[in-house]
Amino acid sequence: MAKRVSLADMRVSEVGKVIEIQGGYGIGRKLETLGVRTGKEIKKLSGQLMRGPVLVQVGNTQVGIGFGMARRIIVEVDKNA
Amino acid sequence: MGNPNVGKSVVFNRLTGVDVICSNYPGTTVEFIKGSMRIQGKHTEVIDVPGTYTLDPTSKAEEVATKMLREVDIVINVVDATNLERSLNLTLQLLKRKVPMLVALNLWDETKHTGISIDVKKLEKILGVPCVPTCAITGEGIKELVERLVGAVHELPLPTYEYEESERWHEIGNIIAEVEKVTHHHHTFLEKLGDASVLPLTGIPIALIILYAVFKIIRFIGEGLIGYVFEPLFEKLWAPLILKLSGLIGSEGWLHNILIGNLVEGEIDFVESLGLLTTGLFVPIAMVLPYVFAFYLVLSFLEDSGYLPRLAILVDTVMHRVGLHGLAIIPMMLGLGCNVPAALSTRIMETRRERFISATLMAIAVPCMAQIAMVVGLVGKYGAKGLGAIFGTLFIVWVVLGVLFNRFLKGESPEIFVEIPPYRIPYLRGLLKKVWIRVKWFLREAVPWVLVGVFIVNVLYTFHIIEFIGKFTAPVIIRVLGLPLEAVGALIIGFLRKDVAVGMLAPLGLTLKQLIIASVVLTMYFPCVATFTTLAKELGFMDMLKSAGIMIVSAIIVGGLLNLIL
Repeated sequence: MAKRVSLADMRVSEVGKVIEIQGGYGIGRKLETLGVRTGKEIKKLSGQLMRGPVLVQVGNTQVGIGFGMARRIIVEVDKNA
Repeated sequence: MGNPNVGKSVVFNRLTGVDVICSNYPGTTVEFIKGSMRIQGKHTEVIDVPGTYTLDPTSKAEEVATKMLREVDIVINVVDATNLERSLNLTLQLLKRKVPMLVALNLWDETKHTGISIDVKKLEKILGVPCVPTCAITGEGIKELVERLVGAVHELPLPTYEYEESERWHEIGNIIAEVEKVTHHHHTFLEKLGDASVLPLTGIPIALIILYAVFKIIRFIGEGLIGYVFEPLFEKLWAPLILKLSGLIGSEGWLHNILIGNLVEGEIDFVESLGLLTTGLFVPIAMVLPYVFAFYLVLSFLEDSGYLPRLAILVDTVMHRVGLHGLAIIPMMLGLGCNVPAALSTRIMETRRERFISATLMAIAVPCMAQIAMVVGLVGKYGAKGLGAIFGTLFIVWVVLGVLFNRFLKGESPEIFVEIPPYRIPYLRGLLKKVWIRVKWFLREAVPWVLVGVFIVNVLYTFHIIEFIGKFTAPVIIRVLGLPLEAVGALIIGFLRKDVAVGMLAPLGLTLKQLIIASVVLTMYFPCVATFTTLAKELGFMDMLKSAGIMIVSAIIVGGLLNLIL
């Protein structure tokens, strides 16, 4: 069974697949410009203390994402990984 | 045009020979820069456009880039070859607009060690526009790009590539599957370092070490240049010449005053004489330039390495407390060099509110290198007691004002969303060129203003204008700030150049307490004329008035508090 968590709750160095981006049209548009969109494989590289931004790897790009935004990105984490 | 941080400015530089600043972080270029090149003897205009991820604009910089599209004949679409998917998103949107286009597959050298191989011929066939692999920083591929461009001027078919808007990502996926092969590669040292510098546990110590090293290096280079090069040059070579000139003019009179100034016991005092040929040259060249050079050397290295966006991630939480997000560290860092480019760089912030907060905080509490150099020259002998008090106070002002702004200005601060580029080892020639562009800019912009400043000081003294103004401002200067009346001269000149203003404090014989107050107030009370005009353009007239009001009021309050506490 794979578990579903938000990017903010994902653990560092876990890998998963983006399955949903909650929120309006705007946030989805913004995220997709840097390659974060549903269906993409994503790896969490780090998360800062005190609800700081989350750093992820998507394809060949590293992206820093604010905590609030990260909470709206839902990822299916592969348990076996 | 193209995505942010793919090297558009480097390509532009190669094509036109125009010097533009290029760095390794998204958002280096925030305005259009025009240059020209000759194509078969014909004068052709080339425009460097701020980067954009999409033609569906999300920030102001992207909006202007989109507008530009309607006015050009050919687009050179600079593409990050290591990030084909993201680049193709913009490319496909461009194709839909039916603008004639060439694709430069830049950063080609990096595809090799990241294990990516791209079939350029196939890509060209699919897209139906010329594609050229380039490595702009070393100049590889530029010649072919120009050749294809020349061909394109004569006949470049309009793009015919068609796709359904809703299927864009699907299309992109198909193209990539056709042309790109990715092989696995091992983590390089730089990538491991990249990961370590953004994990909180290792990232914060690394940031502190880097910060400490930055200060050490700047001081080492700055002091070294002053002590071993510039001071001896002025004392041993220039001073005897000027003394001879002084004798020729007759050791007094208005011309002597303006050119050479007052001799202190028959000798020239380069800081206190206040003549155009003495202080006017010594301050910018022998006191400020060495630090400006040292600062830009270190800053340029940090910019090109790709560290700044990572620093932005680390300080993001703190920045939210003052109504900004992590990227605001960039205007603050640039401000330490010169407030003018820093004011321009506030454009990377998304909202008007953020731009107002970052520009105002920067202008109030971030002293430029010219001023820092002079303060260090003047107060440095007291050590941390003096410098610590000055810069500590400014830091507290930055935090307190920021928290107040965040509370009382309407609106929220958006969250950080930024591409973190890979670490790159700065390309030495590019780095040195950038330092040279900035130093040249300093010499051209700053030295004339210093001379004007020194000239005006002389006029003000000769016609007793300073005493006249002093009488009006006495209650504030003496009672509230506890400074002598003569300090008003420095405050007037501070509008022109802060470094000259700090220099003017030297002959007043101020106590340490007065030096601290004067240095802090001089930083805060108003931006210099160059920064003021830039801010007025960036913020608009009304916001500039608001910002200026905040500066004057907070400078008097902070100066008055320091006078009570110290």
